[in-house]
Amino acid sequence: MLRHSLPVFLPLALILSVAGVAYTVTMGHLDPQRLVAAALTGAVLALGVTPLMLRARE
Amino acid sequence: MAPKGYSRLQIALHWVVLPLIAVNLVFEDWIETAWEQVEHGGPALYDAGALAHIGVGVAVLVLALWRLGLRLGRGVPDLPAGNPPLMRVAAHLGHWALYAAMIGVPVVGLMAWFGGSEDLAELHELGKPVFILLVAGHVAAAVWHQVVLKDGLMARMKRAG
Repeated sequence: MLRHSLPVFLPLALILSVAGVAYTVTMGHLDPQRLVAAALTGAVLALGVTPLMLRARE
Repeated sequence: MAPKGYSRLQIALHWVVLPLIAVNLVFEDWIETAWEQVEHGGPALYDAGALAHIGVGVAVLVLALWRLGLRLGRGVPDLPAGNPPLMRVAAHLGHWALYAAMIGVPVVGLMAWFGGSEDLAELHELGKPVFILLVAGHVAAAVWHQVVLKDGLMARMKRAG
C-alpha cells in the first residue's frame, strides 16, 4: 500500500505545499509563521488528494 | 455494478466527519480573535482556537476527499428500489451538494486565512447556513426513509455490506 501511494503522495505534497506558499506570498503575506503553516497545510491536503489521484491513474 | 452496501471504511468516515463538522459549526468563534488580527493586517495568530478551527476544517477536507476517492473507486449502494424518480434526483443532488460543501467550505476558509481575504472569509461564513440546511435535509431524508418508507436505509450506515 505504502509503496503504491508514496510515489503519488510525495510529489503531490510538494506541489500543494509550494502552491500554498505561492498563494500566500502572492496575497502579500510574508510572515514566516503563515508561510510554514501554508506549506504544512498543503502537505496535509495531499493525504486527501492522493486516493483521488490513485483512482484516476487506475 | 454498485456494491450491496457501504464498506466499513466508508461508514467510519461518514460518522467521523459528522462531529468534526458539528464542532466547527458550533464553535466557529474559536477563530475570531485570530481572524481579527489577520483582518487588520497583522501576522497570523496561531492561538489554540485558530489551530483547532483550521485543524478540524483541514481534517474534514482530507476525509471528504478520501470519501470521494472511495465513492468514485468502490462506488456506493443504489437507493432502495421503488423510490420515485424525483426522490432519487433529490438524493443524488443532496449527496453531491454535501461533498461540494465539505470540500468547498474548508478550501475557501484556507484561502481566506492564508490570503487574508475578507471577501473569501465572508463567503466561508456562508458555509454555516449551507451546512445546516444540507445536514438537516440529509437527516430528514434518512428519518423519512426509516419511519415513513420503512425501507431500512439507515441500517446501511451501521453495518458494512
